[in-house]
Amino acid sequence: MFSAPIIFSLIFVLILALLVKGAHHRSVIAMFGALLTIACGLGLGIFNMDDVAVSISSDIDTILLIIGSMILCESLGRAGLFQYIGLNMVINIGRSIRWLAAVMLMLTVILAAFLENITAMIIIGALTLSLERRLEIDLSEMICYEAIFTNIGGQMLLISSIPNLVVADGFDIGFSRFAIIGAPLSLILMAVSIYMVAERSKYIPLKKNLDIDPWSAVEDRDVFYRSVVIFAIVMILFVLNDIIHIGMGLIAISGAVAMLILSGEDPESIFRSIDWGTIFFLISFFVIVGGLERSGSLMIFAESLSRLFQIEPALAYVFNLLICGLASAFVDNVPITITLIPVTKYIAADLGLDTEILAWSLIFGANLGGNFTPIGSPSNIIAIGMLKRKGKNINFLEWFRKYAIFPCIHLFLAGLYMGLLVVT
Amino acid sequence: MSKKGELPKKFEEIHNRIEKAVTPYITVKIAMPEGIDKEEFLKLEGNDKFLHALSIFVKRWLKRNVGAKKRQT
Repeated sequence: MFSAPIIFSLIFVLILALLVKGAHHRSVIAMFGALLTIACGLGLGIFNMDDVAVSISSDIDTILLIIGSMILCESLGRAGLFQYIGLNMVINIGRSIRWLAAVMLMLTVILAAFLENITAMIIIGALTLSLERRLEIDLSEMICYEAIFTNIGGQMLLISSIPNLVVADGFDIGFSRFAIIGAPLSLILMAVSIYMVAERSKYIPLKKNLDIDPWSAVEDRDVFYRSVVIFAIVMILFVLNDIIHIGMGLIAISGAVAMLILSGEDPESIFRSIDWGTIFFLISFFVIVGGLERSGSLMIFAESLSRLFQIEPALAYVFNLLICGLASAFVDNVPITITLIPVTKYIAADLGLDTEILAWSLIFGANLGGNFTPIGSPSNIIAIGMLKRKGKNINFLEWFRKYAIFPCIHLFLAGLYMGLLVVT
Repeated sequence: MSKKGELPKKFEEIHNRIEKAVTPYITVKIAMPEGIDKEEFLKLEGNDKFLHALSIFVKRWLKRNVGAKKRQT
C-alpha cells in the first residue's frame, strides 16, 4: 500500500488542484484538506489531536495579528481615512492623464502597504470609477495597472500581506527589519513601473478640474481623529516591538479592542465584515502542512532539492524566487508560502546559505508572481470584475500579453536586489 | 472570493461613499402620477435625457427659490 509521505502528498496535491479549479470557496477546500490530513494522521498513528492543537497554537501570534489588523483596517475604512487620503491626493492632479496615473498608482502602493490587497483594490478601483465618470475619460487600463501595483505595495511592510506575516513569523523577521528591506524594493519597483505606464499612455490633457471636498468622505470627524490616533499608536508599537517583544499579535488585538471601544462603530457590524474565510483558510493550511511535515514528505522534497543545489548553492535563491513567483500565478500564494517555509529552512541549514535572504525570496516571489495571470491575486480578480461591470472582458491571454512584462521585470529586479543583499 | 469576476458586497458600499464625495448626488423617490403608463414611467430611471432634464430643473428650482430667499434676507 501507499506509504505515509505519499498519502499526505496526494492530499496536498488534491487540495491545490481543487483550489486551482475553484471547485468551492477556498476556505472550505482547505478545511476539507485539514480534515483529510487529521483523519489520515490519526488513522496511521502519525499524530494525535493534541499535536494538531499544538501545530495551530504555535502560529497563534500570526492569527491574532491578522484578526487584529482586519478589525483595525475595517474601522479605519469606516472612519473614512483611506477615502480621505485618496480624495486629497487626486484633487490637485491638474494637467494630464499621465499625471493622474502616477498619483493614483502611488496611492495604490500606499493603500496596499497598510490594507489587505482586496480592500486596497476596492477603494482605489471605486475611486477610479468615480473619477472616470466625473472627468469623462476612459480609465479601464488604469484599473488593471492598479491591481498590479497593489501587489507591489503588498510586499512593503510586514502587515501588508498574509505571506509576509507567515514568512516573517517563520523566520523571525521583525516589523522594522521588514520595512528596512521590503520598502526600498517596493519603492524601486513602483518608480520603474510608473515609468513603464507613462511610456505606454498618451499625453491627454484633462478637460475638467476637480472640485472635491475630501472631508465629504468622513461622516464623523471625532471618530476619524480617534481612529487615526489609535492606528498611529499601533504602528509605533509595531516598530518598538523589536525592542519590547510583547508580540505583534497582542499589539494588533489591543489596537482592535481600543478601536472597537472608541470608534463608536457597531462591533457586531465590524465582526460581520471581517474576512473569517481567510482565517479558516490559514488555520487549515497550517494543519495540512503540519501533516506533510510529520509524515516526512517535506523532508524528502527538501533533501532532493538540497542535493540538486549542491552543484551551485546560489541557485537556491533563484529557485525559491521563481518557483514561488510562478506558482503564485496559478495557485493562492498562502499555501505555497506556508509549504515552502520548512523546505527553505532545511535547505538553508543543509547548504549553509543565508536563511533570511532565502526568506526574502519567498516574500518577493509570493507577492510579485501573482501579476502574471488575471487569477494570480485577489486584486487582479477584483479588477477583472470591475471591467466586466463596465462591459469590458479581459481574457487570460490578453492579460498575459499586456501585463506579464511587469512581473517579469519585478522578479528580475527582486533577484538583483537579493544579489545586493547577499553581497552586503 | 469568486473567480468569476463578481465584486464583493463591500465594493458597493465603498463605491457609493466615494461616488457621493466625487460627484455629490441625491436620491429622491417619485411616486407614479396618475394616468400614465407604468412601463414608460419605470423606464425613466435609466433615461439619460430625463436625468439631464431633471438636473436642469434642479438648477432652476434652486436659483428661483434659494436665490430669492437669500435676496430677501
